[in-house]
Amino acid sequence: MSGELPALEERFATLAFRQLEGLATPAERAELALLLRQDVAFLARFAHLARQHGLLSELLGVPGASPAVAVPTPAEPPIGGATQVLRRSSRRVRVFRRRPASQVGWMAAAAAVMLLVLGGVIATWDGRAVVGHLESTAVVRAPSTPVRAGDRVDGSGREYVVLRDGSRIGLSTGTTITVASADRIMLTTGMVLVEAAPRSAAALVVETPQALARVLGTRFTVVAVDGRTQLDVDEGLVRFVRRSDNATLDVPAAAWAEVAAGKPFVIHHRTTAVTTPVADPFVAGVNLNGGAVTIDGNRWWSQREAVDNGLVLPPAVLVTATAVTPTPAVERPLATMLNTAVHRIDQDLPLSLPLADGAYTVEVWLMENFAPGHRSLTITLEGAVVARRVQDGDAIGVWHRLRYPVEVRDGRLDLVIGATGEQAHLMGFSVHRR
Amino acid sequence: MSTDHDQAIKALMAERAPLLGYIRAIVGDPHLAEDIFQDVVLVVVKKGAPADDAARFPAWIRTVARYEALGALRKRHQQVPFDDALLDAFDAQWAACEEAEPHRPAVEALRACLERLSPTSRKLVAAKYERSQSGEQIAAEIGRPVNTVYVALTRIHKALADCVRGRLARGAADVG
Repeated sequence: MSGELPALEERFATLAFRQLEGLATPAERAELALLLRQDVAFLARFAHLARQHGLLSELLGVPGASPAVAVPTPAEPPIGGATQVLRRSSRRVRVFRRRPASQVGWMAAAAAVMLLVLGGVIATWDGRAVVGHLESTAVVRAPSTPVRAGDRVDGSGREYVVLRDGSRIGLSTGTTITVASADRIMLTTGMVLVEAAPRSAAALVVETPQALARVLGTRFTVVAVDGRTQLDVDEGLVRFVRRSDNATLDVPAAAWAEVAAGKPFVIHHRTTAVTTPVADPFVAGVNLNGGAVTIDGNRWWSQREAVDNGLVLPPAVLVTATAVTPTPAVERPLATMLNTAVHRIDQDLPLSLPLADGAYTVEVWLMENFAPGHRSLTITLEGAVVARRVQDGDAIGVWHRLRYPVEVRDGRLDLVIGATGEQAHLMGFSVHRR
Repeated sequence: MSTDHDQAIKALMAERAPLLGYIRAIVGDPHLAEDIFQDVVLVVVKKGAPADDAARFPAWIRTVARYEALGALRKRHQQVPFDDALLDAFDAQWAACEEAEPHRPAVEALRACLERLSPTSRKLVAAKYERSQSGEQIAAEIGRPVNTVYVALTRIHKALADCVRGRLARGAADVG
């Protein structure tokens, strides 16, 4: 490994490999993009490098990492779909954080591509036909091993059970399920992601030792670990039944609930969006990085005024002024307020405002002002997380007015916007006495 | 599922390695690239592929992969590293590369060219592609700066590329 390359060549080599290794930082990716844009020779080399990277991995990669493919044959009519690795959403990450390290991690080393052959009994993916009667429910793990009804499936992070109606059950690493029938999954331990097809007949049921989740078409996650079961609903409505007393909750989209010793069996909403003015008496409002503004008939402080009144922002906080049209449309003062913000990159954004002890309602105002789906925020008030996944997947211009009750006991209102690895930002907030 | 459908799946699996390289170039993360590839499989399983012209398949499947990759990045709240114009240009380069070095003959040529590498280069290639080590891991193992490793790997890639092109050209000449 001797010899010198010009600095630009060396930089290209570093950036290109770091991108292909998944190690490039956002700044490095931007730098690579700039190089590729500026010089078509670099672009050609990057394309060639990436292709050769793929071919060498194919030639030299360990056998276990090669695709295990069950290509349908004429003798065994293909009637199913493909397995699909579970996407690692922020929701899952949140769940993982509560689990032992040995049980986390969707991505096992085996990088198999798995085509499902559903044993001649499952409807085709496009719904044209149901071939035969359900005896085996469906999955194939590499290579094409159908799992019969009653079989146990252990998850290594890449298994995907497909039921006859197209519903898919994804298994995380360390998960064990029994496919009791096409309508019933027994989850012994671990986590499953359920993408249930709309059903008109029997509900799909996921059972755990503590609870049942019944569904007629939705997307949700069930975690059963350490004697507790958590349900997290993305879409639709899921009936959640606590086995110990048959208590029932209908958990809607963007909400979760859990069955656990000592924990209330209640629905937790991920966020609380409101559109109407708060009825409680106005105490203060702050237009971050902006001037004084009147919202709902109340005069908000400019950031300067708020700082003069004791607002504490983190040192070297970044500021943003944009010209985004809020969605839904709003009056000019509110649009003005939503287009100024403070933010931080890769760090939480804490704010603190002097406030007499007491009960308050706090409204937090946010708008996506950079890129679609750019961030997923966590909001903490007085040390307690009050919302997660805020702005998750928002298009540019989508704004939120979020309202939370809070009890101040230390003479200061402490608000933290968290966004690990992303930009935490805040347009403004207001405080109302309850 | 039609025979055309089966053919599409087979064609996709045959293109897995280069397509994974294509996706990795866009998204970086190798695990995410695997996820996206499987999303692409799902698209083919659900929708089939254009049956009118097999030669169009690689370009079509790259378009699907690109769409899935961008969707996956947005869903993970990651910034898309390359804009549409750059991705178009990248795809054009990729197509040119594919035309000059068709997949299967290129793999066979690559296999032969690997034999001609020096022992030191062969060790680096083994670390990178057999053991899937990152540049940083290799650098730590051999006690050299990581940039040096990347430069060395770049040179090896170039040597392999020259060798592959030479073998393909000779092969074409032999056939011709």
